[in-house]
Amino acid sequence: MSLKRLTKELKDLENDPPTYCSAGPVGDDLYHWQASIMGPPDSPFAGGVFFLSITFPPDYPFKPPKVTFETKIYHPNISDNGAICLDILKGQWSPALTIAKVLLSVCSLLTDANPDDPLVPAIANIYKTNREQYDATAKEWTKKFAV
Amino acid sequence: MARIDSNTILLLVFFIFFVVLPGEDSNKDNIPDSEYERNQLVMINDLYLNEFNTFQTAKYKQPLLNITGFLYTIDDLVDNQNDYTTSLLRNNSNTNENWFGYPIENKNYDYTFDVDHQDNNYLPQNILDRIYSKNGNSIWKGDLDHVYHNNVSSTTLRGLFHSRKIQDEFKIHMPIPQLMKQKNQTLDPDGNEQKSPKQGSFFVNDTVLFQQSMDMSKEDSNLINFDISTTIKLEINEYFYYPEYRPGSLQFLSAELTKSSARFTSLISKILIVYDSQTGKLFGITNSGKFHGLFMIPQLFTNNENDFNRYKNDTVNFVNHTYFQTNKNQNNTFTMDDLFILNERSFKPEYFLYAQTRPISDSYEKQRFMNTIDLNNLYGKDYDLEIEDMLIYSPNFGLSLESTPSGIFSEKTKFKGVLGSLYPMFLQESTMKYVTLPFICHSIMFLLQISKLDSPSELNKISIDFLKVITFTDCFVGGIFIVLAIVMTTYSELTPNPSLHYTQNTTRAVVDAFMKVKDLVINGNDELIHDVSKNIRTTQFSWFAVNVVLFMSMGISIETKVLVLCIQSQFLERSISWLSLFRRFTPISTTRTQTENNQSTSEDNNETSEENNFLTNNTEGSEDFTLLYSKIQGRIYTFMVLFAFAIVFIYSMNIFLRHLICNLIVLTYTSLFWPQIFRFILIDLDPLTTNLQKRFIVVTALTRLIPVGFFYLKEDNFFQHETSKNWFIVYLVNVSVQVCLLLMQLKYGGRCIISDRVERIIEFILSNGNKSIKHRYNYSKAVTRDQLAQLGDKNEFVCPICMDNDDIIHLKVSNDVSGGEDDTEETQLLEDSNINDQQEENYMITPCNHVYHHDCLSYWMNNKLICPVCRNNLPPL
Repeated sequence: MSLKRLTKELKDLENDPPTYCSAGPVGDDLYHWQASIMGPPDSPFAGGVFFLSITFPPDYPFKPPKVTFETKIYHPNISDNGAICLDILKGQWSPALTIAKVLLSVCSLLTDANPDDPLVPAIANIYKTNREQYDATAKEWTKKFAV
Repeated sequence: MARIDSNTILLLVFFIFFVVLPGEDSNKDNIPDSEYERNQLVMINDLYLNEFNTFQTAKYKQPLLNITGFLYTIDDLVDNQNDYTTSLLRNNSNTNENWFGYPIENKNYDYTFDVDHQDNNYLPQNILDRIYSKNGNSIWKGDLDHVYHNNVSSTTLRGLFHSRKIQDEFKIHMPIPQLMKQKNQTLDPDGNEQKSPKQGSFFVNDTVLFQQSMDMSKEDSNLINFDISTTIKLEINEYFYYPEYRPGSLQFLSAELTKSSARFTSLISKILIVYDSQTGKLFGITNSGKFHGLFMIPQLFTNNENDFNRYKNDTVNFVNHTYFQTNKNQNNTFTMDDLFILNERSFKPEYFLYAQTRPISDSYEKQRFMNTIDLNNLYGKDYDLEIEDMLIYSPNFGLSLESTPSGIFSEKTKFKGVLGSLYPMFLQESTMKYVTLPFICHSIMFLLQISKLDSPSELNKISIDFLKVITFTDCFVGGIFIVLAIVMTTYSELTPNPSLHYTQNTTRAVVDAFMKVKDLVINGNDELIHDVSKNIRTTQFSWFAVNVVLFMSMGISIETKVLVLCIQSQFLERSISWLSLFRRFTPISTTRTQTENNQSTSEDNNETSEENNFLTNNTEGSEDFTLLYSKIQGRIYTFMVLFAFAIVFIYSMNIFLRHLICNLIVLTYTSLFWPQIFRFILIDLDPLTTNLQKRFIVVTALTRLIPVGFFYLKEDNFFQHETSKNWFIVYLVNVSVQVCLLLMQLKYGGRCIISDRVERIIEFILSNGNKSIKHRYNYSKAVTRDQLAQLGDKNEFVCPICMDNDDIIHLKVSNDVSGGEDDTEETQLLEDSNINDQQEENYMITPCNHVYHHDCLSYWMNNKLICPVCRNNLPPL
């Protein structure tokens, strides 16, 4: 079932690609994808291209895929090694979600970080107290790693 | 002011239990009320020590002078009152030591006490002949050529006696001490209260009391009538351990001699039994207050010097351990309790018991016995032990009972050979067999069952009350083991005197042990702490109980976790598995958002609002389950300790109340399946949809019955609960009915056991009143084309889960139940899902009107009960 659905999702992505993202399998393995996200223009990540690696579990639509950032990014909800703190990738996963929707959620996470449930508390602290510094650092990191 | 919650109440109940804990009489008994009683204690301790010292220097064929009694016979006191006090503490001219007792000067002992009997053994010649004669008719044939059973422990010997009165009455009048009767407080003519007597003196001028006691003694002896075919039962009920015990040493046991005729059973006497494994001799002596049985053993039961010395040494070792080791302060060796008992026993007739066990005939067994290494590993093996011949003699009224040559103890009696502390070992074995093993089986089955309950829909069918009953009744069993642990730890060492009153009455020991613990906690008695800690170090059997308590706690904590997981699952519709037993509880915050979602959607959808209401109610009322878990866990352990106290408390009640409460508890213990049966009726179980295993039900039922059977059928159960076959049958029927009903439900559906009328009533109640009982939601309703086409184009249905699209243009989809549709088309359209004949079985429609493939949604629902599209909660399958 998972293979079928993944094929379908891939087809849908090709037919109707989302605005700031793209995704596709790495090689022949349909269970391992790579995705890229363009930094949203209204965020400090604008101009950067972020690569993500996606691993699908064998019972895919029933279990969430594992999505990690491969590009370093300065964000309160994304850890140093790329792990993303996003509820729909964990307990709130639903089989009706597609990888396109997930990527869209990640995009919106880039725009609106959630400092109340941080993965990197230090960044979240700066985000909350000193927004300018956060923006500056994020921009700097984007320039450094994602351009 | 602090809020009074249930925990406070529990604590209060706990406290009350602790304070009202029974045993005030033992408190009273053990502390002398008056100077007089204290003097008596000191006196009796002195006497005992004196006797013991004399005993240690005793020689073969030496008359039993100082060691045959605490004081004087009634006759002596009545006849010779004036001499009494003067001879009490007089100097022995030979040794220049203070000494008590016999012989009184100027008294003729020919009648009462055969001091000059040259052949030792203060028994009439005909009895002696019967015991020792060489002509083959003697009781004691045992010699060192044969191999005898090593150990004798808790068991019962039964046999037929033919009584034979000896013609020429030969009575030994043993002295009867008048220990407890205090003279009435009288006033001097001057009005001054009479002073209590000083240490070492007795009231002797109260002749009326003595006269009374004589009458009593006569009465007692008259009470015991032996018919021609009286069955005498010898029941060994305690084994006394002493560290010097080696294979071949004497074994000290306590036993009860009862006789039962056709009509009733009565206790003849409590007897101290000594077993000599070298010669297979078994001999007993009444532990009476008139003399100390232990010190009579070498004189009464040996006829050569070797045996005499051997018996003497073993007895000295035993007495040294039991009387003087635990308590260095010898004045405290005896308690008021013992005084009462000694006093009571003073009026009972004495018995001597001579018995010979049959040697081991099997050569293999013989070898095993000869092998000393193997001697230590006898535990757990049953041996057939037979009494060959036996004679009971009462010196009080010249009565002797002997076995008929063939009829004696015709039943083979099973003995357990055990080295070490036999009675606790026996307890350990029986509780292991009848309580712990069933519990282990039950736990294993429980875990196996849990591994099958892997979906929230499954769990929804399990009644929480069912789990609650299991958990709390097991926690009661845990309480039993706490009692056991405490008793086993305090049992032997905290009772400094192995006087036999504890052996018959474990209940008393239980209560007493708890009193000691209470004493320990409240008064901080250092000696007790020392004793207990020593006991824990030295005895392995207490560890058994402690380990079992730990094990039970572990099992119970698993059960608790399952209980909470089940509650959680029924709130949140989560599945549980083996692994979830080791996981932490997931926080509940996510459900809040679901609730909000629910409310918004339920407005749109009147049809489903009822369904959703229930779910939202649930989530509103839910708490953090970790908190709930810790709460329940804590409560369970409190209950366990509380139950332990309750058990002790129950045991001190009168017999009616005790039986009532015991039976109530056991009834609860055995009624665990009823909630589950009702649950199945309410939810109208579909037998195909549950994984409740039949073997789980059957094994659980069996494991519940085994401990009940132990307490209700076996006489030697730990609590000496009165055996009652009838009650056991009640419980057996109770459990079997439940198991049958459950199995029927599992086979034919939840409501197969009730009539249509009852079913209608239940339906009525369900539809009208109680919202907390869920209606089964029908997912396989007919779907409309509009509903199918929700996600995709007008012409196709896209399952949100597998994202396959089915062409729906060719499907006959309508509001009414669609009947025949084209099977072949279906086959083409739904390639990787199972093809069903009925089209509506291919789809599932949720209360929130979302349609999925049947397989997709049911698979997802094993995972989580929320709608994948709108995240509404879903009713379980």
